Amino acid sequence: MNQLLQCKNMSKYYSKIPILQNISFHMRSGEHFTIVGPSGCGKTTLLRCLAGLEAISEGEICLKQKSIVNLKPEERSVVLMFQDSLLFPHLTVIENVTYGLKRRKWKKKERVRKAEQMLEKVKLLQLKNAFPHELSGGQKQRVSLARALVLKPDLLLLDEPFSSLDAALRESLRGEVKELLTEENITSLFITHDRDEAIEMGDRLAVMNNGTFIQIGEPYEVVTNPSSIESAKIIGEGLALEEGFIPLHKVTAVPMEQKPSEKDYVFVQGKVKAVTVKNNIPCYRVTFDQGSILVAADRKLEAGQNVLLFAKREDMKKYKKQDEQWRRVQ
Amino acid sequence: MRFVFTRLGKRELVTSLMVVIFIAFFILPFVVVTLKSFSVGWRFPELLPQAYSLNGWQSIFRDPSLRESIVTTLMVGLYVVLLNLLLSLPAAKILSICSFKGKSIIEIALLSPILIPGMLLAMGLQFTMIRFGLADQILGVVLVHLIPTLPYAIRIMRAGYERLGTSLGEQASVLGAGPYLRFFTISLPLLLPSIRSLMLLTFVISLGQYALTAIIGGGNVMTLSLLYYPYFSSSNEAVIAGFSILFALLPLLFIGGVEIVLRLVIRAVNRV
Repeated sequence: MNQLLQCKNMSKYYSKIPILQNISFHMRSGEHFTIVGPSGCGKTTLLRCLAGLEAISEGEICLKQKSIVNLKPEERSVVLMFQDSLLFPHLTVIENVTYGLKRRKWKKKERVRKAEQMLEKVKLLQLKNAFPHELSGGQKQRVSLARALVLKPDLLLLDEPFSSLDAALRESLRGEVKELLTEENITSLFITHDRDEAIEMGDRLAVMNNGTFIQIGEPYEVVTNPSSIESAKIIGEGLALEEGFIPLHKVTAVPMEQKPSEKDYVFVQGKVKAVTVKNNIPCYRVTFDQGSILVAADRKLEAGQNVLLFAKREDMKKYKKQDEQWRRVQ
Repeated sequence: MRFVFTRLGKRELVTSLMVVIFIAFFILPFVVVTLKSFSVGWRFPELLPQAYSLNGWQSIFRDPSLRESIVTTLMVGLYVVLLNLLLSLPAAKILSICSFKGKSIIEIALLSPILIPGMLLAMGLQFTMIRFGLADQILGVVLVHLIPTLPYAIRIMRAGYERLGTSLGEQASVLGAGPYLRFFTISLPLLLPSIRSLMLLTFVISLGQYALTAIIGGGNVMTLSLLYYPYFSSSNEAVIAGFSILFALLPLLFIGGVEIVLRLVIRAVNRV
């Protein structure tokens, strides 16, 4: 078993209020693991606990088979990259990147060479003598990434590093970062509340809600087969209903009057909130009691129109009892 | 007047007005005092002194206790500033970061030296100082100077720490920097503006203490202010002017020296 990180029954309380409850998972060396969940579900706290910035209340964290629970953040081979780039404003780009290497007592020549190599990889070598305030948001995040990667940590934790960037930049940076992480053979734990980002960045994906993991699996598996309605709402692409989950491509919207009579259809009442275009197909943002969904339709619909979302009953996937699979995963 | 208004925009007008006010209130007095220290009997209606001489300065530098008092003043000031830094940095850090029961009580307690007259405290403290053998000594004077300085020092540093926040320190710690390195490489350079104003303020307050120094120092610890105030009764205004300049130069000299040391330290820890 090539397990790099093992977390066993990790819990964290803030004045008796549970923030993390009984979290157990493992990561293989070189793996990219993502955690997705709504804001406030405890994702950031989890990362801070792993980095050592918060003490855990119960449980065990092992890195390379050694417990790191009692180690200070500076003694763990774990680097956390925060939501904001947090570059040191009084240091230049290259001084920022060499900061960690200097703490590890590398020779000056070595650390400058290594830092320049890393800046080259994030395509910012020409800005090595600039100060952080001269950089754009995306450039800052790249420097921050270089600063983390140059240390070759056993585990890199990324706390929504792209959330402060605009959509286009976020998408381009996402691919770049994943490539770089793979190239450098860095094991990474990435947290986000953006489902696309979670699916794209991870080899494995965990869905988190209320301080605990509710599903772990391959991204495709998790997205198409949510194990519960909560998971379906957070990550599933489709209609999340009490009795089951219907993948998006099986769902259609029709005007209220054209209710199909067959018994083997599932219906949900909804209202068209907005009309948009996705992948060159007109789509409709339909809201219903339990949320909203972007769906295609056979006929043209208008905003404000009452509609029915429907799908064949056989296309509905029941939420499976995950207990058994759960044990296997952990 | 109209000509001025039309030629200059509103903005320029305000700017030049500010410059004039600044010169009138901050530069001009200094020039006047400097001139005065070189003058002989410069009275009111005369625009410029009738005669110049070095008499004022000569009688200042002829005072045998001057050099000693400058050294004492600098020493007291240096210790006061260092003690203030030493005490206010941890206190301010905890007050800005942590929240705990009784925090507001501590905050009020820290402010109380400003609210209660320092003289009152000094009278009481003198007994304690005498008992501990600290009266009539530099150490005693330094300690009593903490009363009017420390509350300000903590306030200033606290504002600095609040502006700094905790995130950069956390980032440094996950990059492998321990508490001391974090302080020297991150907090110190970024808190420099606060540290600078702390040092200037506490030094100037310490420099201006007459009563506290006199009570606790008992005339043994001769600081510049103890030497300076009696000169007010002298009729030679040039001497007073000269002393005033000396007084104003001391903090500048001190801050200049400290600034050089600080920069050297920061550069040493923060090279690539």
